[in-house]
Amino acid sequence: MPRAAEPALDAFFDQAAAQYEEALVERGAIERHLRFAGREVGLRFAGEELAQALLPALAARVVDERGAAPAVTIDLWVGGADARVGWGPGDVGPRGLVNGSDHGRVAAVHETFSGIVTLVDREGGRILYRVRDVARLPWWERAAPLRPALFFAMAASGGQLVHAGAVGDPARGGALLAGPSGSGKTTAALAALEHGLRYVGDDYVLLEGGIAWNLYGTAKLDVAAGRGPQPGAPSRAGTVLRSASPGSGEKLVLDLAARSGPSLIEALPIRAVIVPRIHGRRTRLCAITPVEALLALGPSTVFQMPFDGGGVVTTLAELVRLVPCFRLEVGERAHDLAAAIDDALEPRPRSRARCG
Amino acid sequence: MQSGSLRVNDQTVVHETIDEQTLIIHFESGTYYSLDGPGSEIWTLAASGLPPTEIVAHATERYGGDPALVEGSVARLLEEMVDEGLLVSAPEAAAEVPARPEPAPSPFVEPVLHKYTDMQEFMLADPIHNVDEQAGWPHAKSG
Repeated sequence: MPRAAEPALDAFFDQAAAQYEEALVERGAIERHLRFAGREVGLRFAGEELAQALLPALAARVVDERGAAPAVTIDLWVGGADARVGWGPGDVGPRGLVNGSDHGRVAAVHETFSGIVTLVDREGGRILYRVRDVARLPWWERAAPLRPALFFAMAASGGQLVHAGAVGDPARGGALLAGPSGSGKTTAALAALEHGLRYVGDDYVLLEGGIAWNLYGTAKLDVAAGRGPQPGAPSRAGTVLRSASPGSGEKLVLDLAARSGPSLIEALPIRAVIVPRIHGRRTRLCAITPVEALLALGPSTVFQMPFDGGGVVTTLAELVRLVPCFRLEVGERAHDLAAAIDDALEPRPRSRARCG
Repeated sequence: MQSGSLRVNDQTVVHETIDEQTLIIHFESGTYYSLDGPGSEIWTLAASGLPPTEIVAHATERYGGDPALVEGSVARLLEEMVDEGLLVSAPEAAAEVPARPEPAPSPFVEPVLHKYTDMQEFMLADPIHNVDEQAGWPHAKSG
């Protein structure tokens, strides 16, 4: 039974599901199956417009639909400018989590800036995703879509979305790149890719049993900040999925799945945690403590996706206890960056000195 | 000095301690904290429900030195952690008495609760002030 002061999320879910079915009849269905960490998630779009906006970033995860029925299905539609919600502003907590979502059948996440509503039926394995207007979808939602939906879909089977990148190679495994936006994760990941390492992600990966799994085929470059590959390099890293408008604060979005040659890899076992920090001079790799790495990994993951009350911190703590942790002072030469990441993946890295 | 036992405010706080360093996240305020050395030990003892007077006794025995300095430092740190909403009063707490401490390899230094607020932007989205004044809730302001 919901508490008296909480919104009636079960009833709202059922109303929203009926609205989705109406949209489906009106606009037709586009279905795709995605595979994350060996498990399938079904997407059922009502109409083409939303599918065209969200699928490019997920293209590398699309699989043949003739397999077994997915355990979780996400139904997606455009609700229109007059789409309402079943709660008031006082019910919306951190990162859009709606009051009452921590128990019962239905959890709701309302991203008030974009108007995106994600509704999770914990018992039925069904998730609803409603946007008001495709034209007003933020650029980051197109570059890394459905994060709350995938968070809940994967958490049911033990996977956790983590705010981190990952690069490496199949022979040695991968390095998790941890830190807040602007710390140099994408710069380091693209430098590694340019020099022959493989790419799991630059900003979000799925972590399960010490393995980082790919979610998105995109990289987001802060070209306005003057960091990242030099002119000409983005075209080697991938095709431009979305340009960054000058002065908008947006990032250039690259589609790495469209890159020629090996680039994306579905998964890598994590052998090191690296915390990049934009430094501006010489690149340097040095050792840090597990808790220093956890400071870079835990808060930014928890505060972006606080949907499980911070439970992900336990998983991240287990990881940093097991693998060596480093700070990567990000200098100006991509080759040096790649060499430093390469060193961190070695069984006995040369850079074992403690950071000052 | 806090008079009674304390416990972690586990409705809003997650924490991990590895090798005498502690990360604490208060996920409603968007603030996180770190402690090391004696501060991390004091956190661990307080989180286990050990009364403040016994934390002082434990730290004094482990570190030696000036008992007044240890007592004052423990009291200040516990008070700060209560003020930050990391620890709350737990009158019913019954902690296991920790084993007699080994002498510390280094002298006592006054613990510092390092506080980080750089992530608060993620948590402080204000749905009321982001509402479009014409269209009303739940329509966000454009631009």
